[in-house]
Amino acid sequence: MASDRTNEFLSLAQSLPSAAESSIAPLLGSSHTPSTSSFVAARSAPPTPAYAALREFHQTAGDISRDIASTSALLAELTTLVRHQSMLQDDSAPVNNLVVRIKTSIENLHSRLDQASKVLQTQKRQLGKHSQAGQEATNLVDGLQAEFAQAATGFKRVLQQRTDNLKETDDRQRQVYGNGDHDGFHDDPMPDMGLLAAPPPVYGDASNPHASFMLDLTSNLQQQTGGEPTSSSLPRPHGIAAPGSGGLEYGVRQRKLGNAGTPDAANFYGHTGPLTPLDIQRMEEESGLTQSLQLIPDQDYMQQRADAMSTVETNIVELGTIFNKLAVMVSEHQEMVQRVEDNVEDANTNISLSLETLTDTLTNLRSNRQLMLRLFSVLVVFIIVFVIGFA
Amino acid sequence: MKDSSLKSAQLAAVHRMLAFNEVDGTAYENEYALPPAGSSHNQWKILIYDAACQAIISPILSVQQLRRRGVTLHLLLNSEREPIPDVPVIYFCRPTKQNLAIIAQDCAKGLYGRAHLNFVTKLDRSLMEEFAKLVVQTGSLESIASVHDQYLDYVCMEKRLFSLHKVNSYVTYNSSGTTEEMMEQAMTDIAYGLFSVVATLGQIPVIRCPRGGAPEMVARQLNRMIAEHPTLLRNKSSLTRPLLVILDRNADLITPVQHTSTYQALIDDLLRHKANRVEFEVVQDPDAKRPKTILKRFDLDPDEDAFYSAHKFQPFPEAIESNGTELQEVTTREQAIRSKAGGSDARNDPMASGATDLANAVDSLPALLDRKKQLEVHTSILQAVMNEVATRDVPQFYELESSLATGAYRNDLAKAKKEVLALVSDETKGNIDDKIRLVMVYTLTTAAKTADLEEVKVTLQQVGDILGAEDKTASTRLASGIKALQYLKQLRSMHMIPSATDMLQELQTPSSASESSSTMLSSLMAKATTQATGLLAKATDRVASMLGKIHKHHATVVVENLCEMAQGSEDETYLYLDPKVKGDVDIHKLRGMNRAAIRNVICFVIGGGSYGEYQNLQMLANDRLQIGYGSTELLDAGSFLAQLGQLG
Repeated sequence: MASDRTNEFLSLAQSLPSAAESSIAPLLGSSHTPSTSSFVAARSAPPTPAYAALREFHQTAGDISRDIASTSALLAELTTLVRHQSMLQDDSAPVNNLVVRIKTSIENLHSRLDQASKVLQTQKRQLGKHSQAGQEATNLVDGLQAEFAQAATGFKRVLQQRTDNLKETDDRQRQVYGNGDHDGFHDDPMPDMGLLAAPPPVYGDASNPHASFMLDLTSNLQQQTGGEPTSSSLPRPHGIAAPGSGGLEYGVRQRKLGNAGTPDAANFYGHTGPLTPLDIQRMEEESGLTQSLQLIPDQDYMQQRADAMSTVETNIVELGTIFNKLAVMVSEHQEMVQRVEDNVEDANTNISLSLETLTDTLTNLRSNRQLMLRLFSVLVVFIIVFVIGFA
Repeated sequence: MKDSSLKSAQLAAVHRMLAFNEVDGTAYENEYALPPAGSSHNQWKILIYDAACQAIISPILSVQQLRRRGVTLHLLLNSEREPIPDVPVIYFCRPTKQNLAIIAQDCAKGLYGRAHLNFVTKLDRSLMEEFAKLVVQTGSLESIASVHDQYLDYVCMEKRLFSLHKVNSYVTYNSSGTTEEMMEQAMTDIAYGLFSVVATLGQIPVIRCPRGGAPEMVARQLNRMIAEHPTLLRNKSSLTRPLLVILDRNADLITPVQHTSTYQALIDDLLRHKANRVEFEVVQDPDAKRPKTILKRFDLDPDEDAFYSAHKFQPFPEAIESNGTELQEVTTREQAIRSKAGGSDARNDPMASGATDLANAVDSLPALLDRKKQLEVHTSILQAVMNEVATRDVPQFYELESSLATGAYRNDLAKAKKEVLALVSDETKGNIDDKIRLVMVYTLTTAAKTADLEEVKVTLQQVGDILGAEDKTASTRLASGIKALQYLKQLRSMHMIPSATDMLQELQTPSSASESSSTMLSSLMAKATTQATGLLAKATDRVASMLGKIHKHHATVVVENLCEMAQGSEDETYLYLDPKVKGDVDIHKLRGMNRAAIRNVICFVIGGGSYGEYQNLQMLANDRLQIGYGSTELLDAGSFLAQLGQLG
């Protein structure tokens, strides 16, 4: 139960004469007190351009944070929309609209965060490695990234729910219209729908449950971060290969590129793993020929549904690259110190270590000096002997 | 607030502080309901605290949680700090002259953006004037955004456990070198600390304490403080007022030196345990030529850690057993999930049917693994405790001490002496501290003659010399222990300690208790040998005696009597202070009336408390009665011995 004494303090301060000219050094009474004039100087002018840049950085960070907040708000809207979506009405238009908006804002945020951390890197070089201002900024970016990761995961979850909903609707639809449209290329009319309900590959495999974001691409990414600077070869959201990222093999991109090539029948019939939405789309396209021959009335509708689903899935896949990076960030984040006093303890150990090293050096120096003395005396004796011997 | 414990109240107060004490500052209880850091309601800021406030924050908030609250950097007040312009700063420190000077300097230099000052206790008017002068003179008044007194001057270790963090408190309150003024100051400090507790809880307590001495001084001061600050306590619903019991350590010196048998108390006694962080050394591959010892360090959160909160008060063997079973259960569940997940390429298509199953299983896996990790932490802690218990033969000491304390030897002093001598003189059993503690309990609990005590002391000295030959520190500890014994004898001769045996009541254990404990033991043995985790099955017989016998400590007895308003007990003799009523309340008049049942008790011990006492008090707690425990500082037996040694 805190008691606010601000007013008391302010009235007290105002009652005092604002005598800036009187010397305050004796009152502050410590050895490292600069004079009043230097205080004023320090207040009026920021010391280095680096600090000015930092100020700017804070501003951008604030903007990013605000945008994250607004994205979260949009996300909440989408969530309610998806949740309340009934089986009967089809309100995919506003949902799609929202999804697109959120997606673009997430991509946008992602690139801005990237930029921010890049700016931070350069600034840190100016400020020095262990400067507190730099640390503060780093923590800030870390915080933003965590925030962003949370928003992005929320988005992923919503999209997943939407796929589930779509699938359910389709099931319903199938029951209503009966399933007469067999003998396509499978014995089930929508064989892929079952697959869609299962998490697509981006959701990760069970063998790697430790990662906060369970993505099967993490390992690739970690390879990447280990090998090259992160900034130069970031995953691009649309699967465009970054220049110079030749060695990287993203699961997603690989599949996409594979899809762009000629369809490989063995590839998708003998597919053991889950199918990507693009596979599905392709299947749809291929089977479209045979199916259209049968002239099923709701063919268009099915096609439309499949398309909607594949868009959702594509969204997820595209976001996958972003999640990848986030996974690494977050895992880095988690190694952070747990308790408040750890900092101090670290400092203490550092100090004692440095002390040890210093004493070591001192003893080394001492022994060296002794050695020198000895050598020198031997030399002198030798010279004396030499001189006396020749004289 | 759902949870009205002291810790959550303190946490809420700290959260409010981190939100700049905003008026609409709905302290976001839920972390996830927080607006994102950096937005207008959750601004980024720097937190600067002094060492005392660091001790307050560290057990309740981790660095991650601070980050969630927008604290990007946390620094010590007296460390070297660099300018970070434009970022608002929150100062959280004690109101001392030095601290204020540093803050004024910071403001003058313009290190940060606007400063929000929060003082842990009341900032005196004179200090405020001085500070205002400094600030005005340097022309940095506009950089001060707010000034608050937080009244948070205590450290919450657990929901119902706090300490005032006063170092060396027992010595201060009992040393002959303490002047009247120092004593007065110390008592005022305690009263301020307790006032902080009361203010945070927001409920006006009824204060009970024994007449005379330190407790009465503290109680009267606290009573006055509460009465003078009615605005701080505007909580109207005072139907269930807490009962604050203030006790003196001198009333029960046995508890802090006695050996213990429960998990948490043993951790505190045998390992290095401070502010919920436990440290111990583990010998790695003992078969190697040069066995390497590594330091292990774990942070325990007694409220979040499910295993710890469930078993910290349990006798040690039971904790071992449940650790084993829980670990097994978690492992099997994990295996089940893994096989389910791994079997996806089996004949039946997992995608079609079990997809959601699978997803659920995979989702639950991380939580399960977390739990397993936690349990494994406890396994290693249990193992470390077990090693100590086995090497020091703690159960034997515990057994003898508790039977001494319960007065089992009341009529057979010769036998008591014989048993004590036997255990003290056996140099293979226990270390020197254990022996000193046993002799202390013997001194305090029995009405043994001085000659007997001398004899025991001489034996102790002899054994100590033998032990001291091997270990240098043992001899110094022996010297301090002898001094401590001297002090205790002095106390005893001055009759400052009530004749001890009647202080402890043996719990009326039915005759079946011993039987059940033996069956429990055998089942334990059977389990321990079969378990893959195999926690030193051979040593289980050594801890067997830790089961069963439970007796109530002094503080527990007092609290129980006060709650039950028992006739002819402390309820009649203790002082009754009510801040709402002027002057003392005549308890005899009250006794005639119908008094509301007590739902919430805070027991406070002046001069150092122990985990043993805390655990013992919790035995009284139930759904209808919550018991908090606090003390000037939390001491393990070793440091309490050291303090006693300083007095001798």
